[in-house]
Amino acid sequence: MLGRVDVLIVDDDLDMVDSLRDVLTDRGFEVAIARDGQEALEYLAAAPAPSVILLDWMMPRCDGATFRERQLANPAFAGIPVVILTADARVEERRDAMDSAPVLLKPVEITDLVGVLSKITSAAE
Amino acid sequence: MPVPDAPEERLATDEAFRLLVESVLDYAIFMLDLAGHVVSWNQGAERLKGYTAAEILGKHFSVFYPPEEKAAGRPARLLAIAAAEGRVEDEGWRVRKDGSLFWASVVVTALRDTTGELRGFAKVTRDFTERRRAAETERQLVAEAAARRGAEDAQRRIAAILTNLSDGVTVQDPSGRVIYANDAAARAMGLAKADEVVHGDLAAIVDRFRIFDERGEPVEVARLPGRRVLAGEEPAPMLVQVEDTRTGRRTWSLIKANAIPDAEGRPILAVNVFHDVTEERRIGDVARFLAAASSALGAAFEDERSLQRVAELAAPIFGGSVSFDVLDGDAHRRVGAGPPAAPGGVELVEALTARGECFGTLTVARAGAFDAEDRRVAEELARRAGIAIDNARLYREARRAVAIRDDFLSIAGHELRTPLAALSLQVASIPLLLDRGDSQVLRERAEKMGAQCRRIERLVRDLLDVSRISSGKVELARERFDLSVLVAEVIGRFTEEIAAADGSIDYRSEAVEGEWDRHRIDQVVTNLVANAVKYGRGSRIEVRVFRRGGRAALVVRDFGIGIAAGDQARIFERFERAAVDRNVGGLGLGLWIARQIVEQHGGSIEVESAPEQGSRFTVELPC
Repeated sequence: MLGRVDVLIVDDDLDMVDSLRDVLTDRGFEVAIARDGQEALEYLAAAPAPSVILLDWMMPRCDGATFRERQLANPAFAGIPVVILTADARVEERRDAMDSAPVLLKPVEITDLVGVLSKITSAAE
Repeated sequence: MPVPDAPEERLATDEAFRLLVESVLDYAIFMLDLAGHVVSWNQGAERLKGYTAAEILGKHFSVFYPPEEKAAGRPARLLAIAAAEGRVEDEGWRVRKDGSLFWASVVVTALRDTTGELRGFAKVTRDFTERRRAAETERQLVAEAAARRGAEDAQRRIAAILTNLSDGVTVQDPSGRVIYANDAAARAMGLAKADEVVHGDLAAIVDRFRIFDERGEPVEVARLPGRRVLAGEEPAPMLVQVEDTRTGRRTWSLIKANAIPDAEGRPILAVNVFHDVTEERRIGDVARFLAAASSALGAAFEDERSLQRVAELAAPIFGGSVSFDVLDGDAHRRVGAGPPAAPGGVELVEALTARGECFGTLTVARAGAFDAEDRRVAEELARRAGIAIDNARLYREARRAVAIRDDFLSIAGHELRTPLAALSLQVASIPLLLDRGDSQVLRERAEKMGAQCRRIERLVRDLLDVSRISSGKVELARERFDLSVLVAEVIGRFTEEIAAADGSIDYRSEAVEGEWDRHRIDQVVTNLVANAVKYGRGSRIEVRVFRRGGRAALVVRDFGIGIAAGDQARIFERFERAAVDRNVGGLGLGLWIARQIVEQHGGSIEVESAPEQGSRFTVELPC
């Protein structure tokens, strides 16, 4: 049985996942990993809802936009807060698809990242 | 003759003289008194003038004159002159008793007595009518001959003028039959001599030509100016195009006609003048056409449409079909306009060139032969079209290059940002870890940071390679080595990464030596293995090196997400991944670079894959 985590990291890049896990764990967050949107949906179906989902936008198989669509379509997952973390500078052009989730651009300042996540997780508690 | 001195003798002499005078038949000899009354009359006078002596003696001599002469005072004037000068000669019409006229030659002599006193006049008249008539006839003959000569000269001159006239001239009778044509008219009808027009088969000549008005609508023969003026209409010039159906050649002609009327004003003949304005039209048309063609070529960068437009403009100028054949790499495009070429027609072909390179042709096809002007126009058109097509092509290439570069910069930015983000997060954690004093964790993180730095390095190197390979600046530094050893080294560098992804690698090989560029082949193997790790999603990776048919073979296989059939060819293209799937990490350059290097070695690279089944890349290199 999986325990409830603070942050579900959804990213296909191994280095990025590795670093996010390291720095968030260093700061006391409990994290889980999904390698793309499909894995993230599978995780949500199997485990207690995380306090926040840290979502990469560009991923193979099931990207951020697809994940977001399916998440919002499912009442069980729709309420989980999402923070988008992307390297795509043109993210503003796709504002609609992100459905008003906050966006952080890679490379992100650790203080910004931790600040946003802390705010959401503490509100959740 | 002795002078008579005795009165009898003199009388006898006078009497003899009188008899002599009276018997003269060919001359009218008579005397007038001072006032002009007839006082003597001879037989010649009676014969000439029709009066007997009894009838005329005592009458005034003015009765011999026509009334207008009498009224003008001519008889009195003659007597006055004779009185003053002794004699006067005169010629003129005189009136006989019966009223008829005769031409008289007259001498009037003043008669004076021994004291010099004027006593009367002697008048001698001869009938010169016949003589005058003969002279008149001769004069008329001479004049007529001169007139005839003049007329003949004039006719010859007119004929010469008409013959040498560059305009065609014909004369038609009311039935429409041509009764005269000059050489220019004959030439315009495709005949050698004017006679052939007049004596030839007019229907055949008419059938040979088709006539169109300015707008290109067919014109009935009855609407031509010659027929119209014969029908009594006002003459009006008409501009027509005449097509010779044998050659397909069209000429422009300005036709003017005038009617020659008979005494009642009815037209009996029509004179037609044909002025060939083809050159004028052509010069104007060509100038207008070239200007329009240039603007059509210059206006649109979509050269297909503009070429089509130019062909449409050009077809009527040449009176045939106009087409452009353009080679674009291996592709061949053809655009054209105008009627399809008739069998047995002629073609004029010009090369489309720009910057010393020929990339197509301009073809003009029509029934009739081409002249120097046609060739000049075609040459000029080909020159302008060549430049325009080249410009359009350069513009398209430049635009594509800019679009690719923009895309590339965007991907490059994205791809560099990701490892940089991972690295910067790790760096930001160092102070925290230092505070905790956990040197073991610090060491592990330092290793990760090192790996991330190497990844960034690889990306940057790929970027530089693209630029170097694209500009052909890569030279192979060949050396002899064993491929299986090199592959083992590369796999060794991925051990940690594979372990981190919970994957495994299965490497089997045999020694295969060859002369290759070690650094470049290392790059190929690295790219393939890195892809297998990335897209293998933690699955098993199989790597094989073996000898196959005198070539070295390398197979890298993963069991990950795979590549759809439609995308398999594109993954080897530069930046193509961007278009296929922006969601896959990496610059999309690795496979393009791998293919360039392998092909530069004379080898090949292939992929077999299916979605969710993984991918199998096979590289073959000549040993």
